[in-house]
Amino acid sequence: MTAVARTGPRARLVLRTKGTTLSIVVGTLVALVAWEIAARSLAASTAQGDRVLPSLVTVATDGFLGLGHYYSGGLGVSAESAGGDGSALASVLALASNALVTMSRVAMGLGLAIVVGLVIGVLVAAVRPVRLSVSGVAELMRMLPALAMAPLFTLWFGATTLASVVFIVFSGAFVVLIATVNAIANLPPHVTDYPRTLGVSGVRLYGGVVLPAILPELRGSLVFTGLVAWTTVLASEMYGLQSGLGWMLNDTLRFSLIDRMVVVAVVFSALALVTMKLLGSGVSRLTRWNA
Amino acid sequence: MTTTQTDLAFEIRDLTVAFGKGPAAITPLRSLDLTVPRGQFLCILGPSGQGKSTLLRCMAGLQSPTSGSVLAEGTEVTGPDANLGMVFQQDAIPLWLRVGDNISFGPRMRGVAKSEWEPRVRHFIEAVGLAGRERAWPKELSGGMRKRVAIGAVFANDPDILLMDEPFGSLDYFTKATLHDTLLDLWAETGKTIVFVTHDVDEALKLADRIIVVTDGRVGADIPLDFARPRGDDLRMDVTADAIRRDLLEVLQAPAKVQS
Repeated sequence: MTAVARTGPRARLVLRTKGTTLSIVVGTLVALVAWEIAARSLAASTAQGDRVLPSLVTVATDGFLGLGHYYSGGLGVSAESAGGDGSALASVLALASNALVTMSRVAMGLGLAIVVGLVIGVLVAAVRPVRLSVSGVAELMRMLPALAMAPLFTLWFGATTLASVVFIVFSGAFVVLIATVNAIANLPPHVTDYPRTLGVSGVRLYGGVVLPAILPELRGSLVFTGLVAWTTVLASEMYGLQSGLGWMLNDTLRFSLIDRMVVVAVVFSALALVTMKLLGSGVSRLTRWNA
Repeated sequence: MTTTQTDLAFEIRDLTVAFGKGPAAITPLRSLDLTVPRGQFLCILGPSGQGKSTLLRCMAGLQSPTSGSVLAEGTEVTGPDANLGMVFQQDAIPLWLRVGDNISFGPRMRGVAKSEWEPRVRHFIEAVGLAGRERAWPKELSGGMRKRVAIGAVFANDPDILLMDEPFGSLDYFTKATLHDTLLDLWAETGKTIVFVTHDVDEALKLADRIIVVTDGRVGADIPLDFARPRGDDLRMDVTADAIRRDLLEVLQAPAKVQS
């Protein structure tokens, strides 16, 4: 959302990424109303006879209850295939268990992507041979459409969590790497000259000075990496995996179960939003000295 | 590399620094010679762009000479060293460290034992007037207070030589005067060699044992000062000081030559 940040002669347009609670509530209400109007206006149906755009009531009832189909059983609730009745509890458990699987993949992939991106980024900035060997590859790789490579990772690592995590690391680490290299290049010389005149060098210089100094500039990229992680986990779970929110989405899409798909998509979006908020506030806490 | 016993803090011979090559090359320092005795408070004056800061960076090991040599306490300077502390014109202290952690930053990061640095850090926190502000973030401090942090940090790291690049250039008159007194007290207490770059003639007259003027990449004037300390505003009434001030201002106001 763009907004005028100041009025008067210094007025300028900025991209506002920090949504207030009020703006989120208002935005959600507008989206719900628009959806309902569209659902009532659009009569198109799927091959199964369901509405292409189901009403909110259908989503909240049929869509939600239908998700019990994806529960594999446990905690005193049977799977549908074992005679379960597809209760609301089964739907909640289906969503929760698959969300947990997806979140664990995101957490592992995102954590590793940040570490790998930071370490290689610092090495690229600090060590000339690494810079020479990585820069060209990084330029080439950033041109690749990452999402289109999801099937390749399934081919290499099988339909496994490992494939999903490696794919997230592959996609996210480049974002962090490029942001790290740029942030280090933008540091004023005195930021590193000062500790050098105190006798600080090598790993201590990079760990104790360079990394904290670039953190404020990395904030946006780290939050964006969270988004990349959720996008890539979705893509990876749509290729062969039999668990996770991406698998549920793919399955509902395959059978044109739009009402179920909407419920999963809402949960997926909410979790992605929470991840980015957590990342943003985590980095803000680490950089509170800069506030 | 072994250190030669010498009474000189610096011995600079035939120092030339050139940036670029060919007709477009800029040469801020040209065959400059300079010796600085241990314990001296040397001020370097000079018009803008005439090589003062480049000379200081060579002394700190942050700039390699194109030719010539810089020896600090008998050892060739080949890079930055904990024994060559520097206070920068800009706020260079880590903004993510609280005042106390900033002052102990050097010895902590070099792995010096806490028992060794802790009493020294506590002493310099008090000496620079920051007692009670140890938990403050640098951004919460005024410009003058941040300079106190930088001075405390460099003294706490215990180098033999302090290099200061226009450290008080952006401060108001009263803050500057207070910091002069703090710096002179620390210098008198520790006996360290201080090389101080400034544009301000009165600042140099107040602080220095000796003033050199760098013009056209060389030492254009070398003036020893033996006025009694502490030097207050009465120095403005001193006839000799006034004559030196006029001479220095004349040199500083002369049109700068193109360094090529």
